Amino acid sequence: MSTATAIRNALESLSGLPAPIYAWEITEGLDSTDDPAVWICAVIAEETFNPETYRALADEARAASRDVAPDLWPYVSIRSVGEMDTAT
Amino acid sequence: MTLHGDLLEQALHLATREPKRPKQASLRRSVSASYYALFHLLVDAGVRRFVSGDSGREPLRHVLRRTVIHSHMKEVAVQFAGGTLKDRLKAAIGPLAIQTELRDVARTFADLQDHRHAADYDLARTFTRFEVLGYQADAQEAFNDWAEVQRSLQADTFLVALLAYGGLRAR
Repeated sequence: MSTATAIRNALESLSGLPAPIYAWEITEGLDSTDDPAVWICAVIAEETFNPETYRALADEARAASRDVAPDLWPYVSIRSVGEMDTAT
Repeated sequence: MTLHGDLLEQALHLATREPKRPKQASLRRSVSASYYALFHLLVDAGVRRFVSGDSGREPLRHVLRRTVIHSHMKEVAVQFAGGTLKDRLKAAIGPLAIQTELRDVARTFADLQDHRHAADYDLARTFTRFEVLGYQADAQEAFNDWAEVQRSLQADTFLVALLAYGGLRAR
């Protein structure tokens, strides 16, 4: 099993999150200083976004990622389901 | 208002200035503003802590500001975020634990630096408003966390390391 898959499994097994997750997007690679990292994006419904929800989700995602892959620095972000369609 | 305060406000403004279809240019500059808000908050805190005095000392503070190296700052931030200080830094704080707030400031600094790099250089990336608002919220929270711990020995150690890590890591 790849590290990204293991992180995805860990994220998908999280319960009691502050907002429903439509999808987790996970990319493994090297960051801007060539350190091993993983980028985790939580896709949520637009109406559930607020800074507190984002921070709580990000904390959970970071902790889950570190449990599975402590050597990867987790960069966590959030976007809403329809946002990619409106990016210009 | 301070430069770092203005930048934090500007990050929010840029993330929300186009109500319907945010421009990538606005979102990318917002990410950069969030990073530089926290960068200048910490650098300003460091230079004022270590070069105190009136405006006559401002040129000296400018000299110190120009010595910082972003990649070294990230190395320091990663150490503080994980509570895994190198021995020279560990000796400075002795048995004290690194506060959760300071760890979060350090983690946010490292995070924002990478996001800023992507925003400025990775044109293959598409940023979204929620993503960028999240980064601005991270920066805002880091400002709040910093206010809680800024007078502690651990915070002083963090500032010394941010400003002088290049010299420390070479030894």
